[in-house]
Amino acid sequence: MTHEATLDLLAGAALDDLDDTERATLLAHRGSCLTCDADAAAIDEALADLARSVPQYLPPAGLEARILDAIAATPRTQGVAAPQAVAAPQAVAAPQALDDPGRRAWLRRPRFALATMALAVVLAVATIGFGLRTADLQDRIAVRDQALAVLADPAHLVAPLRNEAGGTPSAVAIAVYVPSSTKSYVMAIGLPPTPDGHVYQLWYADAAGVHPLGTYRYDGRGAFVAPFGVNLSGSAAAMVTLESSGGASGDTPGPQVVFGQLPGPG
Amino acid sequence: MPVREPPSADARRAEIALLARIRDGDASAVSDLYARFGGPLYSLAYQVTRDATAAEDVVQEVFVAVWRDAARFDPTKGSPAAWLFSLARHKAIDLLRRETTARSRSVSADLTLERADEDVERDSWSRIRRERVHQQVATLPALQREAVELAFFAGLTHVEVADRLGIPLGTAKTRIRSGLLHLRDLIGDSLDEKPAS
Repeated sequence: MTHEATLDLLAGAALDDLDDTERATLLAHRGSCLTCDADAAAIDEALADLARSVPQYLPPAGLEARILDAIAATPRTQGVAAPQAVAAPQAVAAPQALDDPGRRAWLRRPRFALATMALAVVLAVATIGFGLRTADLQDRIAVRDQALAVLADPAHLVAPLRNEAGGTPSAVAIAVYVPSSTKSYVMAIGLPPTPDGHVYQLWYADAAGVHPLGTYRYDGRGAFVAPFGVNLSGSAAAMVTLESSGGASGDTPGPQVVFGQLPGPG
Repeated sequence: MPVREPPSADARRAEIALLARIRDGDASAVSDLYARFGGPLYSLAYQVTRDATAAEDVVQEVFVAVWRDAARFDPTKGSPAAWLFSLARHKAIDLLRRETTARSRSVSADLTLERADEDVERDSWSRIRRERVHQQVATLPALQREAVELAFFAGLTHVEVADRLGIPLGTAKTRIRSGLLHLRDLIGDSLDEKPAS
């Protein structure tokens, strides 16, 4: 796909209105495109100017004080969100989510859409290594190859992950896994590099609760690919959070980076 | 009246520095950020929700999110303004979709809202910039403009825009995205020009 053809998708992404196939197509392209970031930023700036163009009203006099009060009541650690402020994955991890109509609709999605996503992800992930000369390149390529092997498995499942708070609108992410195995990975582009002293941490949620997994630093280059390393069958959701170095060890995740419900088998 | 320089790299650097202070836990930087963006964010939130109380809630949610997640802002991916307006628009649309009754309210429903006097705007350039954006939006083909306004300000999904306009989904997507790209080109060219002093 050419970059020009992708501009249409970038505009859709800026409005947070891509379908899963479009999201996957954009994911595939951006993994190897050097100009997408600049065009995405230009579209965001145009939207910001559009936002500034509305009639201007004065906020109520007490709003600033109210905000400062709210902030004072929002604990944080070295710039990381208070755990309780994060969207609680338990809400979607409950067993009844299996009967949720939206989830059933997800399961009915035509197989060609999943196939398209899988193909797109292969293209995106396959670009890992281009232009990289870092010491961890071999590790990243090894993870990439393992993720590609999952995508090559005909039983694999794909689930889109999103930032529900709109904090990382440029991020495009998916979870891919083979049911009843520990072959499970998150793949993403458009994530910001992890700030100093912080890591991305993977999580999954099931009926028993929310479970922290591995932590990873990310330099912002190429696609972000990391293993869940657990059997996600029967899990209701997967998530990536931003945590202080070392990661969270309990069941209180830090700020959500991307989150999504898992389709389950079938 | 002299006109200030357009928001340039200096202003952007100052805004990035504010976000860095917030990231480091400096609550006073939140007040400084509010002084710059409180009004514009409130105005955008009101434009989308058509509800003064909802607009307040949106702005509060934005600033709390910034306080929590300032580390998430990446200056290499865009400006603070683009990030903040994107946050505000997403939160306003989320709120709108939770409270669908707000959608039926008329534009002039809230008579208690106080319109910002031009004299109290932070600088003349902001006003000129806004006027230029209006001019450029007006040059969009009518069908594109209508679709962009529904998608951006009314918070409709592409499917809802298609339904509202009675057009196929593909046509709605094309109009919205083409309009947005067209606007990007128009605004980018126009705002690069400095106003005469």
